[in-house]
Amino acid sequence: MSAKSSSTYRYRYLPLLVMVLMIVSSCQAGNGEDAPAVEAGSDADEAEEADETPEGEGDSGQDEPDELGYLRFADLGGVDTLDPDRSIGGNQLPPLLLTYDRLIHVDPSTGTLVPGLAESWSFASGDELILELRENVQFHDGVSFNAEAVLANLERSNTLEGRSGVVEAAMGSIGEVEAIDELTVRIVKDPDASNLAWSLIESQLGENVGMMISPEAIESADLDSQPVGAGMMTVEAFSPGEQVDYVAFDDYWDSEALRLSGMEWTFINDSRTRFNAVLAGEVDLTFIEPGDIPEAEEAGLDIAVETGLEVVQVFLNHSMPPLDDANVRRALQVSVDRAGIVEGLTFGTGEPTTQIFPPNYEGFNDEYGSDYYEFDPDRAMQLLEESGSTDINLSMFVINRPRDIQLGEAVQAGLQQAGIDLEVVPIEAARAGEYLDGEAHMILGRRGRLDALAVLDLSFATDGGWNPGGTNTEAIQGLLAEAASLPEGEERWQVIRQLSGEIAEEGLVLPLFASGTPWAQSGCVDGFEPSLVNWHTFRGVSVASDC
Amino acid sequence: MMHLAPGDPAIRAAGGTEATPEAIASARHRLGLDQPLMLQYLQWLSGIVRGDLGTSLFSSQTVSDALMARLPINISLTAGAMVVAIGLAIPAGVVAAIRAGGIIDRMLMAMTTAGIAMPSFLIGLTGIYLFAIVLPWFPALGYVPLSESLWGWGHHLILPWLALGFASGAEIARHMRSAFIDVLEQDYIVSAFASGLPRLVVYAKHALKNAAVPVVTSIGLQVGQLLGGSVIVETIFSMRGLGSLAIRSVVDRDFPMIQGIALISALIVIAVNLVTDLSYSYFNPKIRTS
Repeated sequence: MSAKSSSTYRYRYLPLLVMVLMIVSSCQAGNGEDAPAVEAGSDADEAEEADETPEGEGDSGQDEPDELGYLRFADLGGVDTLDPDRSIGGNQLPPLLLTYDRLIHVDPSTGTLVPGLAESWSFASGDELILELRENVQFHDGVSFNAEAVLANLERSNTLEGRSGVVEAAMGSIGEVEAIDELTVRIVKDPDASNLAWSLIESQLGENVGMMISPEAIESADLDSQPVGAGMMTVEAFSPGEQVDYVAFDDYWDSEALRLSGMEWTFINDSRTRFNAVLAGEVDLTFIEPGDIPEAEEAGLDIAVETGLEVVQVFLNHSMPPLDDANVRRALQVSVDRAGIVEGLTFGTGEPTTQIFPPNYEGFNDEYGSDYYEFDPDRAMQLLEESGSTDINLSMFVINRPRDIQLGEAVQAGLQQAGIDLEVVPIEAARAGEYLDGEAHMILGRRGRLDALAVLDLSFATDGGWNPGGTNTEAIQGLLAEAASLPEGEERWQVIRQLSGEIAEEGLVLPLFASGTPWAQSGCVDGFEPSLVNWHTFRGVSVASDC
Repeated sequence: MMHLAPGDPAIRAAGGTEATPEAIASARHRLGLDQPLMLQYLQWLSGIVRGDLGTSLFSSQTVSDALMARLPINISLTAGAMVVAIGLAIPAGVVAAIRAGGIIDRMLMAMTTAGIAMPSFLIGLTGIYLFAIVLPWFPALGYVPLSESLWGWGHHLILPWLALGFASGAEIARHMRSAFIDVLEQDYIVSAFASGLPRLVVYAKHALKNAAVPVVTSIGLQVGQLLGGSVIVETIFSMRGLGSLAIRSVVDRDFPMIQGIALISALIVIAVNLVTDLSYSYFNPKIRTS
């Protein structure tokens, strides 16, 4: 036998051996095989205890686990940059919350503002906000957090080329910023800013501009991908649009909040792939489609359906005929079978509403309730007759994804019963801005923010970014100005509730239902409570280390 | 072409639909999108000459980095899928050709028809259900680089390889069959049989190589397609390849990224076609001498 054929003979079983070894290794692999686990009770326990736990998704008083587990979370979307001043906010912001601590935190379950890096804050006068900063806080690079760091951050937010629109808007209401002492900062309203814009300052300090970057890293060109904050985790690896890998920051000031050794935040846009991932035990936590709930329960996953602040609604360009006629808008309201949509398309996980706020929110007006407009096509036709409008042809943008197209078609079917012809135009998200240019009468979307005034300002102020044409009623304009002039509190909420009712009365938007999100988890995750606005900080969340 | 399509990346870069017109204009200027289209194209071309494919409009990631991060995934997917495809197709095509018209031929051709008709995502989803969920043998998603772990690499890729390999294999098998039947009808094969050579020798040594040219053409086309991105399989296995990057870039109107993907895809197709053409001279020396 030649040398060549001898060699061939010797290795003829190699492919078979490789296959067998792969199958054996796959059988040995358990969940979270790559998940690092670190011993608890390290430096994190030595960090100074906070006076109060500022924000927690779970019960911080639970028993201390022996080892901290590693969380694998699958999300929708994708984050492009980890630079808070370049981030466009919205669903791009949550992955930044783990690594950048904010001046003011938001309690995810109630939506109230709670202390973060600012231990307390107060308005010295209507136009001056005083922040008392937390002591003994360190950035990931070891630099101490203090008033100078806040000044450096706000200066960057104010001057950075390429900063995002949300940062620009937030900084528009901030004038002078001054360090009174090492741990006290005074922020003064910009004289040119409106009261409405200034009234948002507290919540804005809980978003992009409130995220503190280490002053020493502030000039770094790598903040897009290598953040240096003071959050409870540092970023180990970042792949834009795909995944962020975190490891716990042992010197984090709030040791009670940090109960994970690290985390993998991956973006999977296909809902079936996300579902398969949690079914196969390759992610610990994700949200699924309502239609997948029975299969998930059958597979033994823990399911929690949470109705947040998000309301699925059709935004109306009420400056465009015939939607400038209140009776036509009201006809739309009674043409839509909200209960049918919730039952048929969300499998009962949503909650019908005719207001811009969900029923569980402080701004919801109980007098108007959830069913101010009952489904009644005959009434719709009567309203159209009263307005003298016939042959109504409308167009509606919907983002090109199956669920939105189904919703659009359901609205279309309802309107058709009232004799209104609606063209549903699927578009890519990048084209949504064309709605503002008057390319369509309506657009299907979702809105839900913790700050009610921000929601109202955006859609209903005459200069609101989502109010094409800038039209409004005098009553709403007056109520908006009144709400903005009032300090945070019950008095302001009363005005906001009036606004919600007035908007429903005028039919300025077409709310469909408060969105319910079904969350699925493997049973290893403890302490997770869905956030009202899907801003998850995973504070107090733990994963059993043996999972 | 993308510039002609509706959608403005400056809106997203400025903060989405909540951005003010001033912020959008500022973002458009910063990204250079307010310059004449021809100037933008010339700038891109001048960058190409210097090896600079540009930077994503929405992150600081360079196009080269993004492509280089994803190309190994597509190479891995393609290589394995082709091994599966060729491993199934060549024997199936040869056996079908030898038994042309018989029951085995009909069964094999029915299977290849099903393979072509069955979308790869269906095979992939079935594979995930059976071998990642019901029998947790393989991962349902993700990719482990070869440099990190050989076992992890193969382990994560087996199901995608099968999903892609079946469809490609079915197509190659049909080409193999028809080419092999043609060769078997040639005089030199008849002479080889008549001279008493064993059948296996005639098939393997004299017929297979001569039947390879159309099959290699088919393999080349399949390789070009898979290297350029197999979007659906990448999606269902959550693999971050060129296909998923292309989809995301198109949706976001990330022009530099789209241009980079188009360029690399074109280069891949040219390179694969070149290799395919060169291989013809090995399989058929007459091509070389002519």
